[in-house]
Amino acid sequence: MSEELLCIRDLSVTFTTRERSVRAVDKVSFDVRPGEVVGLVGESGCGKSVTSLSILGLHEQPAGRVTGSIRLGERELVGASPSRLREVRGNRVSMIFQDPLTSLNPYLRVEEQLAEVLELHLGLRGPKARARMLEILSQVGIPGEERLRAYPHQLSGGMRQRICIAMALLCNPELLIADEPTTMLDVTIQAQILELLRTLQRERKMSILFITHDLGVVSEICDRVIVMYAGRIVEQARTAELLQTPWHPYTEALLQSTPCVDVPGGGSLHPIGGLPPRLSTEKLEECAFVPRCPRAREGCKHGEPALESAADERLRRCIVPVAEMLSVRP
Amino acid sequence: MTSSPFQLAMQRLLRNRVAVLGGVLLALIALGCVLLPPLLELDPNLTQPALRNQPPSAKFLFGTDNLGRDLVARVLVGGRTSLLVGLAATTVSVLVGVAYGAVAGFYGGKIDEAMMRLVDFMYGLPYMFLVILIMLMFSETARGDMLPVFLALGLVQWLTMARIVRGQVLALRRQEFVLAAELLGVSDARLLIRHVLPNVFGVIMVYATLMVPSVIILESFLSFLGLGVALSWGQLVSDGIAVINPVRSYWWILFWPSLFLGITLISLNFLGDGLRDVLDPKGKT
Repeated sequence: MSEELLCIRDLSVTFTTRERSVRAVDKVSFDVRPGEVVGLVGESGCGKSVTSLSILGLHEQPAGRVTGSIRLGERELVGASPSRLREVRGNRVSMIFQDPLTSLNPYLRVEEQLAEVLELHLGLRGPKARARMLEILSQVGIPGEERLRAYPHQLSGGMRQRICIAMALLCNPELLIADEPTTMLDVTIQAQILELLRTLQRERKMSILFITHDLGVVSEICDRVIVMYAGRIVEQARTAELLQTPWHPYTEALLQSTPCVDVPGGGSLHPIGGLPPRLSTEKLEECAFVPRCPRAREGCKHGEPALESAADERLRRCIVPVAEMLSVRP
Repeated sequence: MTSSPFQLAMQRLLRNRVAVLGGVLLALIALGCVLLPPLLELDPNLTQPALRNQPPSAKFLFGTDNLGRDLVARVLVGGRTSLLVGLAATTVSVLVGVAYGAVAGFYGGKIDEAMMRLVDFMYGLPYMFLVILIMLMFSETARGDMLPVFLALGLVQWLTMARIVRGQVLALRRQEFVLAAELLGVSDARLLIRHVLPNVFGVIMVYATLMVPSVIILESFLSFLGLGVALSWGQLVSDGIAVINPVRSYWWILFWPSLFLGITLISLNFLGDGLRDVLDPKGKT
């Protein structure tokens, strides 16, 4: 048990508004091991970001209610006091965001933003702090002192994302949460940033929880993938296995809707019809994916299937036999 | 070499001729009011019964009033009061309004709800009535003291500032760079002061600049009603109106204070509009 770095058990997050309650994350359990890159995949609104934000205790209080358990090493994070959470944030767990344009304070120079973290967690100031900043900037591929004095608006998008990564890595976190860090960048910069993350991850033996809806990105960086749908985990597997032989119709549909240049003839794209279900706090009468599932059958309408172990390191939430998934095209 | 967003905005402001004109006029008037009376040894209260109601001339540039007092001295010294009241009352309302609005917007939820309902309630009170009450309350203990004026005006003006700041902070609170700072372990107080408020600074400055003229007008109005405490432009305008009659009009007694008051108010508005153009969050690229 103790080999896991991050251990999430039965995590549920419920948002209550005046009109209704929404369970954005429903009994999610997974682990992240030291030095492992885990991908969290799903379409918009499936609960990926909410899951990651709960790890850092960052919800609009008191609207979001978090239950279950999130353990980082030996430390329980659900219900931890703000000051204990602050010890963890930026220090043992860091996060980078989707939009590098808005994740830096426009009124602070790069050095001021970096210095704040160093002073807060490591108590570093003056020349020592400066040396550390230059070191980390060269690691993320931004050499030269003049960038330290720049304001965010003077840097390009890719460079800003590098600064964000530098800021997140200043205190050598054990876990980096990357919330779609490449979505807002163009493809060439995207590849550079992924390469950079991969290199830094290997050098530091750091774990990354990589949130994305881009399966191409997943295949490049993740060791293991967790697919979420409607706030639930529907499939979990090693990256190569998941991409080659998806064992859940949703994963399969996601793959078929992703353009791929490797397939001879281009391969045609099949969008997933319909919309994700409206989330509520009530127990599901049927599998959440039934209305959109090409493999749906009578049995799918009798209660939600459980998340079951299907093979070594593989979990799936579906009643369609694996053999049928492999042989019959929907 | 590198300019902060604020410096960039100031550079753009200097290219706005109307705003610069407003700033220069304002500076001239302020300097004149502060420096000229002691330099020229002007006494606004010296009465010269032999020289009553003199029209503007080489000796009395602006003429004299019905007690033979020099209007140059009175307008300049009155300007001191008006400008001081404008600045001081605005400072009071900015301090109160920003602190209040920032806390409400930052914490949101029930705290915000409760704090903003109080603001709504105070909006509902007839503010002139409130000012008059506060002034009367202090008038026994501190006659001639300007502090009650600052407080009274500042305490009715902070409501708008609180609403504006609260709205801005509420939006900034969920911005990614604030979340990022929070995720890096920055405490609430530091988050608010270092990351949120500097980004609201432009808006605060714009509204503070536009608040000064409205406070000056309010003070003039109070003086006009006879509730002012010291010699100010409002008081002078009131004096000027009193001597306008169908038989004989001493127009200069009304004209000069009105002119100065008008120029000051227009300049402040020009400057405020210019600031809004360069500091508007949506215009920032």
